[in-house]
Amino acid sequence: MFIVLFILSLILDGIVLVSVRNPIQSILVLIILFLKASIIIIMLKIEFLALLLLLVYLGAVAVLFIFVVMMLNIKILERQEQIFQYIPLTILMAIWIFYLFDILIYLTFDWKRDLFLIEWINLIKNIDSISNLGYFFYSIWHIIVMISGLILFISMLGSIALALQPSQKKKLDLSTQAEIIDYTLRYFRKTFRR
Amino acid sequence: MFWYFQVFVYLFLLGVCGVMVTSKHVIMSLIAIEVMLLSINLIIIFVSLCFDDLFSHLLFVIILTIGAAESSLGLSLMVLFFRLRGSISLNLLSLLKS
Repeated sequence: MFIVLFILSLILDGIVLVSVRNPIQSILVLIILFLKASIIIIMLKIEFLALLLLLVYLGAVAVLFIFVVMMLNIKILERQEQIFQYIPLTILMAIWIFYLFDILIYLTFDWKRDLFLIEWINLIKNIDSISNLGYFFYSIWHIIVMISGLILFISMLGSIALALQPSQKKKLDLSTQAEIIDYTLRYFRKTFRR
Repeated sequence: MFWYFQVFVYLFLLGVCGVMVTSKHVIMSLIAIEVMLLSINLIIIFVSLCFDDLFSHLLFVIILTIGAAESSLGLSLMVLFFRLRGSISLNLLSLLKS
């Protein structure tokens, strides 16, 4: 019954994450939340996805968040006065999502049957989750794995192209006479200003 | 099992409330979006366990990829915006002259 404790502590972590003011503390709580989520998934015997979550979110995304927050020197979040204008929209979205996820799924699916975990991997064959997923990823669903790789590549290129500063040095182009005169004039202006 | 499922729905609602509450601070909003993606991932994992389905694991990988791409692009936009304006605030985010 450790899994119940972990699942209930996820809600507590979520409350702390929303209500805390400093973004660095919020990111640290986010790291704890991801760790707990990966522990929950490990307890459900899906090791590969848990390690993937640990690798991607804790290894890349959380470090990226910490890096950006430390680099940008961001102040602590000030509580705005117009917070109350968002509350009806939040309640409306909460009711809608609660209806969508909770009531609709509860009514449509047959939840009355015994929903405890059957270890279906062990029932079929004594193979673990990694080899089972690897068989499907690289044989049947290969195109979707390639598409996700393409998405990561495009996002990497986009983030580099967004954050890239154009180089300050201009290449000297002294082909015509006017440009030579212009360059010398600029050079003398720069020297005599000092 | 269905009780676990409800807890993750509440986690998703907490992410929605975080986006609403911290809407002035863009990085906190991104963190709340990450929480929403995490709760969706957990819901998908639990549904896959309930219905003995392996296709949801593929969906997990796709959502993980999309989340990583989204956070990296959003943070690079924030770096660019900080370089442009000197501060991150959604009040200054609109470039339109009213």
